[in-house]
Amino acid sequence: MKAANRQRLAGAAAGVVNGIFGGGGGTVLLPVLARELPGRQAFAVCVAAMLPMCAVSAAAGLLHAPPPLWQAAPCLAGGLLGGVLGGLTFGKVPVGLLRAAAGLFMVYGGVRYLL
Amino acid sequence: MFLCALTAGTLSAWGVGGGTLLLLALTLLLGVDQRQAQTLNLLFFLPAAGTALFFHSRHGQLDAAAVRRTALPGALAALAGALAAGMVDISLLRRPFGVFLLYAGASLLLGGRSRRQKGQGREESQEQEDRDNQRKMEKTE
Repeated sequence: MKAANRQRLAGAAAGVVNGIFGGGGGTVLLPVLARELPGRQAFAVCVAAMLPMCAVSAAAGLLHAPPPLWQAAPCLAGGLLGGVLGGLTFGKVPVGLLRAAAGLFMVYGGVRYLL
Repeated sequence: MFLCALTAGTLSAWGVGGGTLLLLALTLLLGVDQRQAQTLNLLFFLPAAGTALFFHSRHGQLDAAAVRRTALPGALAALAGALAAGMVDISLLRRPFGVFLLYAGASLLLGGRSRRQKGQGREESQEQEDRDNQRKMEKTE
């Protein structure tokens, strides 16, 4: 299969997982992108691809389980500032550390799903 | 809650799964209901990713073609997945997905190690590439 088609398929699979589980799509997409894009680009593209998928899933979440505003406000503000902080420091983090952190979160998630 | 979101937002901006950390903090530390925590986690990602992408784009880290290839089918599939979520027994899917996560996590951990061993200059060349991209962006501005 061509790399472009593998990426399309991985994107679609990530969307299905994100839609069904209400998150976790990045865990499907990142391993494919990490094989095909150089260094940090895989992580940056994964964030970009997950944004519309999470927007769709968030809309579904708001319909079924809307959180109160006092919980949503600090999460949104923290996310906004965290995004700035992460965006500014992204280029300084070694790619090996990014891979290790993502791998460990996935293994942890896998254990939680199995238990 | 703000500090948890700030830390998780930084990790999410790096694309390494900050949402997992936030979900854990919301449910275990702060006692938020699991379903509401999932919605909060999805909402939190929107500003975190939006601001991070501004910087990733400025630093030349975004492969626009790869974003188009993955984001469009992903968004459509997420819509289909959200509609299907009410029709399927999600508990049946948890174990297979857990096995997949263990495999994918291990492949990232082990793949990273073997690549570094194979080509030690790879990270350095990526950093050089980043610096070149940064210079190009500065020139165009």
